[in-house]
Amino acid sequence: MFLAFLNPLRIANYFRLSVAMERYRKHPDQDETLAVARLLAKVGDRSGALSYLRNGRKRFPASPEIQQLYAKLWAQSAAAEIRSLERGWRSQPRVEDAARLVELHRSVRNFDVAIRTAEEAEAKFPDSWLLKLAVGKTLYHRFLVSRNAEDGKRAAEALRQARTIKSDCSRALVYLTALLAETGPRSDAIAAAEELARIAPHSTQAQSFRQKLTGASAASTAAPEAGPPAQTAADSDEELTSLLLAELRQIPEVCATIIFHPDGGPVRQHFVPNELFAAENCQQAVASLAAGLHGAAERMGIGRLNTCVVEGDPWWIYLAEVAGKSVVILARKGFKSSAFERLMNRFMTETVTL
Amino acid sequence: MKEILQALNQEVGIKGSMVITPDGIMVSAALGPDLEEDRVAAIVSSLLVSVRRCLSDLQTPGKLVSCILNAHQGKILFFDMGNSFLVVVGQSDIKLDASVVPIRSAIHRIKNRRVA
Repeated sequence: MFLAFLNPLRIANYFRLSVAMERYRKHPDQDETLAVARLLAKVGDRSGALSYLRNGRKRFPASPEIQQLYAKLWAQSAAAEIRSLERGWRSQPRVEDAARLVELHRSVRNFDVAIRTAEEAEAKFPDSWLLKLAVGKTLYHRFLVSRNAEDGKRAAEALRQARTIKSDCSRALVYLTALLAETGPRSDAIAAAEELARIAPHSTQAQSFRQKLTGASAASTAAPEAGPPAQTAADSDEELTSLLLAELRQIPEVCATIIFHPDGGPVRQHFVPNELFAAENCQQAVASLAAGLHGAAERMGIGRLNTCVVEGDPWWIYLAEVAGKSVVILARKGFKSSAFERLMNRFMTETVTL
Repeated sequence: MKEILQALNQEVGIKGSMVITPDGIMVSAALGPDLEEDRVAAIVSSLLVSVRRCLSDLQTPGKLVSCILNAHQGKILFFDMGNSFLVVVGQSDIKLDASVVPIRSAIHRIKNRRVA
């Protein structure tokens, strides 16, 4: 077994990776992003590579190399997860797995397979808002590619059904607003944006939709040739993490929430002074813990880490992977593990990055 | 102790279990054929080091009770038993609510056995 770790090629790759990461820290440009991502993929850390590339896509949206490598690695990652979920679905059908399968097929643009999978799952779970949302998102994305009016109509129908079953489903409203902004009528899009702002008051995306739509509406009165708003719901992972943080801020037992990239780089955090967790070096401490947990899961051969719950007396530490970022919650005992799992399940099921 | 672990392994979703000291020395193990005792002990030991270092950096009072890692293809659970840890390796679909009772029972039996 130790021979595998002593493989010279493997050791060389780890060495090259540590050098590349150091260079990335100093100059996080396009070439260094690609170098780190390629080496992470070589040493078997595909999820880490994808996280670097996700950041790279935001900073260098015009880079075809980053887009291509991201698409290639994401396709491999999605294919592996699809295989595993299909096995689970055959042995024990769960609606969350079916919704995730639909989302994964959609993310690699297998729209027809996604729709077929959803139809099969809906035969078993006819009243699932998760499935309606997944179908709505799939049809919305197919509409963006094909501009087929029928897809747009069916997407709106599925998203409205998701909202009927789960009235506070903000994700369905995000997609519905984006869709209506494309297809019209604009008054319906504005109404959807207003409703989104009502049920998700912390959502910056809701504010942005509202501003763009009402701004565009006023502009279109003066100049009828004004086009539809440019914003779509395609890349809203940032929005999800904002919503998550906003929800966690409202829970009194939560002492701190730290969100960071897999390389340890901070994204956002909030900290309420408390007697259980020291603020000093907090981000560094939890980033190092997250790295240890990820490493253990990988070495143990149990795949990508989804969540971790560390229970103490009288506190909890929760870690979850949401939208390619690590979310760590430091909480008092009153914040139940089940509440954390429900919250994270909701965010994780709704999150599949294109 | 091995019998207690083997009995625990009969529960649905549990692939193997072991008892280790805080510094990673294996006390007893009943792991499946695809799990190497030394390897699991080394991984859990490094996991414990990570958790403890974090708790020390955060100056967190009180003691560690348990840790549950939920990964895509499996779960690792470990529970403090005073001067050792019970480590349980589970399948990804293990029902934690249902497994807690037999795990707690195994911890109780191991502790009692030690006292006896």
